[in-house]
Amino acid sequence: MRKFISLSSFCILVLSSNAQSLLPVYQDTIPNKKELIMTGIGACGSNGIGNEMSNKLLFGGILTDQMKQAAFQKHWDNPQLNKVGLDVQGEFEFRNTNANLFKNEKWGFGLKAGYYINASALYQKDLFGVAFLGNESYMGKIANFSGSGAALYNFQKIGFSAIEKETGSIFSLNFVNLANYAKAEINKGGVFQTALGDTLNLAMSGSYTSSSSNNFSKGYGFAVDADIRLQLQHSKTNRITHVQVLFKNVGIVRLNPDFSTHRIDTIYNTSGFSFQELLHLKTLDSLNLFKREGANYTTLPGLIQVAKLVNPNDPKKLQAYYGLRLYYKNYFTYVYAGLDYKVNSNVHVGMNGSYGGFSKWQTGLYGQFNYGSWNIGLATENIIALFSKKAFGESISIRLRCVF
Amino acid sequence: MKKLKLIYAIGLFTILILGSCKKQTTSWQSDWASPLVNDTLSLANYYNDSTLTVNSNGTIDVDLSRTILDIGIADLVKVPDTIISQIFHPTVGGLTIPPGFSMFNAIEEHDLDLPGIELKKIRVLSGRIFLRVYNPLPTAATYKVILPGVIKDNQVFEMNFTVPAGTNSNPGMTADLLDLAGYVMDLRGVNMTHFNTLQSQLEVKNDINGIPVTLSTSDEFKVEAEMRDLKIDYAQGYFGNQIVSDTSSFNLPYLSNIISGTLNLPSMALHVQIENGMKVPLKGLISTVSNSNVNGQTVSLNAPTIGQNIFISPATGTWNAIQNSQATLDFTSANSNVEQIIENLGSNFNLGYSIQLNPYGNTNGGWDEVFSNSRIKVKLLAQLPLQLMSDGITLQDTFDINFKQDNGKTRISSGKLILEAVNAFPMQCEAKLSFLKQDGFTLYEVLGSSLIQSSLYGAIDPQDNLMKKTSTLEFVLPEELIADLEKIKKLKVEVKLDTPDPNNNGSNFSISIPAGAYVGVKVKTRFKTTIVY
Repeated sequence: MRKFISLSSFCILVLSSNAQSLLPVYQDTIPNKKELIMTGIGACGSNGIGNEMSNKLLFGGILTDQMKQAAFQKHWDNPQLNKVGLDVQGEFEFRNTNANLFKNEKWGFGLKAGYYINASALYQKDLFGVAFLGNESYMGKIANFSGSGAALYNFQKIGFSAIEKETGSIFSLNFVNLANYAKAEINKGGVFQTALGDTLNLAMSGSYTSSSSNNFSKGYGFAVDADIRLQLQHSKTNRITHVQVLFKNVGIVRLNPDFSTHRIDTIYNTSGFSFQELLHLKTLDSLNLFKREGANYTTLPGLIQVAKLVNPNDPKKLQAYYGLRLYYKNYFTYVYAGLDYKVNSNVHVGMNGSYGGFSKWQTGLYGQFNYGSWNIGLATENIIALFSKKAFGESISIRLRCVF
Repeated sequence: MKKLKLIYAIGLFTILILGSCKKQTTSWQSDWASPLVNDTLSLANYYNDSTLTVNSNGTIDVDLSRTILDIGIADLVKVPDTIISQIFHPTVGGLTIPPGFSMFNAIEEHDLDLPGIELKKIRVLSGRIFLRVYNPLPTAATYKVILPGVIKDNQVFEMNFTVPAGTNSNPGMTADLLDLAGYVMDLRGVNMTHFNTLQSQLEVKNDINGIPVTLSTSDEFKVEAEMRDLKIDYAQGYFGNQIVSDTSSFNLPYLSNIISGTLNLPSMALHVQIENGMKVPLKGLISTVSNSNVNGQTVSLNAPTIGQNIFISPATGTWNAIQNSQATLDFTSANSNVEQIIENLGSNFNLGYSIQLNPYGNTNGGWDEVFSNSRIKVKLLAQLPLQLMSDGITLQDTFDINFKQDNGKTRISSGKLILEAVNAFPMQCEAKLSFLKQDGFTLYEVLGSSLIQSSLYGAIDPQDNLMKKTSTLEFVLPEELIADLEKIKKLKVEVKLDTPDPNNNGSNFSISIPAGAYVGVKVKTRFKTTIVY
């Protein structure tokens, strides 16, 4: 039941949103048409936090000491290797290649809208330890937070696309509304406490950007999407390989004035307060640790993907697909490779293996079904998560397409 | 039809998923440790008010000496602001006088308002004189104002004014403000037999370069001398038999924190001293000495000398070599209940006294003297070694606190305070924390897990040669207390003190407090925190 709820939840997220991309990507060979495409992706992943814990973080529940200790042991000492992320996307797109854009027969047009939530963190093992276990276990040791950072984006976009009919390449310019944004970075920092716990040393250099506003819109900007389709012809066999170069949500947003950045660059040592100080201590604000300044712009969490596509018209039953995905800072370079099996002209299934992203090794599974003018695709990039709590992350992608 | 079924299926699937995706709160517990207090408690803060002093043995004395009354000449003699006015009218009218003619030259006497006091001589410490002279003649006139007997540096006070022409109805006027500091005033008058008497002399001439004028009997020549803010630093005469009496209080505030227990002090004496620095005979009387403690118990001093008159002869010598005379009342265990006074452990002391000058009247012919440095003082004197036997002496203090915690959100769920004390006092301490509501109702009491042990159970620290003992105790804060943190508005700290003898099965005994004794306190926290979101 738990699995069903988890899967269902992700489906909801997916249906109401749109994710990184559904794998594999098919090369569309239907000429001039109208399409409605609804896609959604929900994915979360980590290379240290297993699903047992991440499910409770996402859907509620009590994190037991055993659960936290197990996750802590799985973390890496290198800060670059501890990541956690959540990516939820929903997109709706209309494409019309029957029409001619600006009376140019080579170009059609499209309209799209999307909703995106992206939260991620890159962190030191000790940051996880202090956050979930407390600092008591660090007495006599240094808890190193250097290099840790986290970011949250929530934005919507609406855009207009130009579609090159011959290749299927799409170029979109989108207007972006930033619904929420926050970012924290610890450039250098850590906490040291003596073994007896009578002295606490804090060294911290970092910043935190957020908005104090509850407004729906916290900034406006623009983003470009480009889905460039290339055909590579093998010199000996003349066999054509379809390749996609995808740019998505590459843009910038101007932040509203109610955003501010709090910077901290301090070394603070305390062995406790005197009784007089303690009686007159108000809040940590009185320590003047933070310096406040304005924040103006932020870039969006853009995605670049290069993929070898599956050609549904290829007579071969089995086709390979593979690719590489680059996301924003807190995301590993994601590589994947898989096999697509054409059951019949209306059904494709396949499996793939991948490494990177927010997680480690993952195995993906998908199915795609044609039903008249409808096409439904359902995929996961982490099939293990459906069966085991020991997986690191969950993923589901769904696409509903109607050609008319 | 098939398409419709598919859409229905997708819709149903969506509803099912929506219904099953209910977000609960996520929570976990984590353990936090932090230093909270690092401080040293010593008696150093009490040295400055002279209550505690270090004696030659390297131990501490309690010095309860206080000056209860300290008065000087300014308190006994207050010269009021006084206006001296001297007026002259020509006795013959129609007389025409040439330029430079002296029309008037006379001395007058003026009384200072000093009831009960008969002064012959005073010296002005500070004060001013404001002189105004008026001329009714149609030509300028010169006025010489002299204050006979008012002398500074062997010069009699004299001022000359040239006053412009005027009329009777609108006389010419000149004014000046002069400093009188340092002037000695002979107040015996022209005949040197009076007291409180100032002299003034006015001499008026018409302008030597002016015109002849005709005098009228209605012409008014006037000088006004207004003495302001006069303060004196020497007086000679008879100062009356005024009485100064009061019941003065003084506090030793830290004693107000003692709420119970007994303190056994070594035999001690208390002295009340009346000191006379004026060349005036005095009569003194101590009417009461009492002590009140925080429980409202008052102990009054019973001794034969309480309420008895004491006669103190005048001081002797000159102003720079004054020899005070004094009388002392000694209250000892042998002649009074003085130990009960101290062991009442009250913070509030009262001392009633009465001082009378010249109790037998003016027996000295008015030749009494008071100098600038002459003082009459009433002192309470008591100094004893801080050698004590404490048997459950309990000190208590209450602090306002205000914790905010929502039990449904991220919160502290349990914890403890760890107190590490390095004790250099030969006293052991049992500590208790009470957590009170705003109205003072005690919600929870938490006892320390052990005692802060007496330094006598420790070892000598070669760095400062003090015996020290380190103790660690915990105050475990139960979950129920943490859950009620919002209700807790006051923290009451109680410490019970004993002076156990390590060589006699820990029975309390009398021990001196070494100089420099302190308690080094470190408080660390260990809290289990529930994070909820």
